[in-house]
Amino acid sequence: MSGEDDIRLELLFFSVGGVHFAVDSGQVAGIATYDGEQADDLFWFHEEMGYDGNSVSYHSPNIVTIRTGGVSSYRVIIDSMEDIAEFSQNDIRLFPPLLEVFSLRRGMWGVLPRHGRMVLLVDFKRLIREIRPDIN
Amino acid sequence: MLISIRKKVLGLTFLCIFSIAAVISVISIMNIVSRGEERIAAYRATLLSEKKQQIKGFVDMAVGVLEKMPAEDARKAIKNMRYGQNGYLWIHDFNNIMVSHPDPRLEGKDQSDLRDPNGIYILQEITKVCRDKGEGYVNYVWKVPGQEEMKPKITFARAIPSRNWIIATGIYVDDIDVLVAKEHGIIKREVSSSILQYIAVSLTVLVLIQIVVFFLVNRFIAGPIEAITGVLKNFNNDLTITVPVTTADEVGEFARWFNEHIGRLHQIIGKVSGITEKLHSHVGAIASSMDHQSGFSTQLSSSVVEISSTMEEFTSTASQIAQHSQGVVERADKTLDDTKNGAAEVENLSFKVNDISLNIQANLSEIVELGRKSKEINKVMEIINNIANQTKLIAFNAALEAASAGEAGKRFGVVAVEIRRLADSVVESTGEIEGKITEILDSVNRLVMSSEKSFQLIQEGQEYASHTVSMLIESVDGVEETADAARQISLSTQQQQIASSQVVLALKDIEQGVRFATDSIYQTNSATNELAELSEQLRTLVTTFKIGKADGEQGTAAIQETL
Repeated sequence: MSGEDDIRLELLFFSVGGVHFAVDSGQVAGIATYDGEQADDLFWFHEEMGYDGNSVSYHSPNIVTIRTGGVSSYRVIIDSMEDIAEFSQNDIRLFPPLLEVFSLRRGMWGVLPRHGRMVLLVDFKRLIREIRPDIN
Repeated sequence: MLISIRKKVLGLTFLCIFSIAAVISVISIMNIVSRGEERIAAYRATLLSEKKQQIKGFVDMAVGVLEKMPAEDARKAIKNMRYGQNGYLWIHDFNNIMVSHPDPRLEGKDQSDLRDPNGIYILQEITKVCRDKGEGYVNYVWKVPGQEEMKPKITFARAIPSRNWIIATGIYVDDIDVLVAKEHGIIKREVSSSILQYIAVSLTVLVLIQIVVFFLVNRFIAGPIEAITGVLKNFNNDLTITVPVTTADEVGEFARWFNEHIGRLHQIIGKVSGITEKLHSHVGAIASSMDHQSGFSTQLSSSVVEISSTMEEFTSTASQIAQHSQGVVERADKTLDDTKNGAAEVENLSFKVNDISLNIQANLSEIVELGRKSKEINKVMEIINNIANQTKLIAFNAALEAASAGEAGKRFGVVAVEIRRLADSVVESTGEIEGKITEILDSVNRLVMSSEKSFQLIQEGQEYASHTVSMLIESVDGVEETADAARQISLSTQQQQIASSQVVLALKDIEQGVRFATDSIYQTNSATNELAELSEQLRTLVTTFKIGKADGEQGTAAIQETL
């Protein structure tokens, strides 16, 4: 994540289980179709995000390959890719310090209002550090 | 107005005696009066006879003179003869021509027309009497010489045939009436005196007789009756008393018979007293029994009414049942016919259903084929959708690469965006098509399911129809039996209705009879109550009679022994 002011971010928007998320497109190495593959480096987004035990339906699952910068790969199955769009950093709102502690554990570092919705910004690298320390 | 026997007897006796005395008095008075009148008549006759003798004597004397004298001398002598105050003689011939008269104006004139105020032709009458009898008397009225008053006069005339003369003289007899009137007064006074004496004697005798009668009535009639009355006044229903018998006449007999009847009444009242007591006790028992019977009869009547009402309801219900059973019979017959018709219709229906089933099967095959082809279309759409998704994915990857490329990849990014939009629109279209196909498939599935279900239902219906036909055929016999049974039930119900109607009529008769009986009991009860009151009144009346030491007891005991 680029942290400098006036920096514009290219965000990939998707939704899982009715919740809208966005990730920096720079973290995404590629997008592929999910055809039922199972692998050690392939995770369901909702599991990674720790959805509250509820089963989530994926309508159009796709696999995003996250740039890890290391040997191991990290792929996440997401759903309903919507768009790739550019936003200003000023459009993004950070979580309050009280919640930031808990949200960063899941890689969520901010909120972007878009089209009347709250889009949660996910940092997969942080997420990997938090929950997949074995992936480097 | 109360008139005692004494007064009646005295009155009757007085009346009788007075009547007798009055009759006798009247007769006596009439005798006395008639004797008086006879005396007066005799007196009158005597006076008149004297007058007649007097004038006859004068005429005899004159005739003696005439016979001794020549005619002329005799005429003069007669003319001058006078007697008394106004007495004179005259001579007229048989032609009524005056020959000699103290009034010379009358001599030589025809005096045939000489008439008194009463119309008596005086000389004509005298002449007639002398012609018929030779002499006689004639009465007429004539005025007294020197006076204008007319007075009664009697004339004696004698015919002297030798000279063809009639010599006559008259005398006024008005003094006779005076003398007779005087004598009449005397006689009248004598008669009045006699009458008064007679009345006085009669009254005296009447009073004496009344006194005697009064004594006798007191002694023999009123006295005994008053004695009896005195006893009866103090009767006070004491049947032991007796009236005194003091005479041997009707009153005594009356008293004797009264005593005897009182004695008999004494016995009768004694018997009646005993009977009344028994009657009173029996009436009380009867009244009590009638009360019980009345209550029972009332209950019976109400029970009969209830039974009658119940039977009427039963009859009504039976009638309704009869009607309904008749209706059931009719419906059973109709049901039988309908069942037979139904069996035939169901059989026809079964054939039709079979045809429908075959038709549905054919349609089902077509629908299944349609569903299969829809699925094939869906597969194609899936392929297109996959291609669109892959295209979209490629567009996303292109956008990522364009973003990684920075400025150099901007135009590529635009292309990638357009491709993504195209892919989105393809996906959207395919999604719509897929949706439609899905809807079609859903409709087909539903139709297939419905058709299969309908086929199953038709199969089942066909089975049911076949089963129903067989059941209907079986039920025809049952319906026939049911119809027969319904007819039997209807007949039985009608008979039951008739029987219940007869029972109702009989109950009504019983009810009426019970009502009559109840009314009779009420009347009897009423009569019994009246009888009890009457027996009580009778007992009260009987106790008013004294028949012994204790009123009614002695007599009652005797009567009870007798009974």
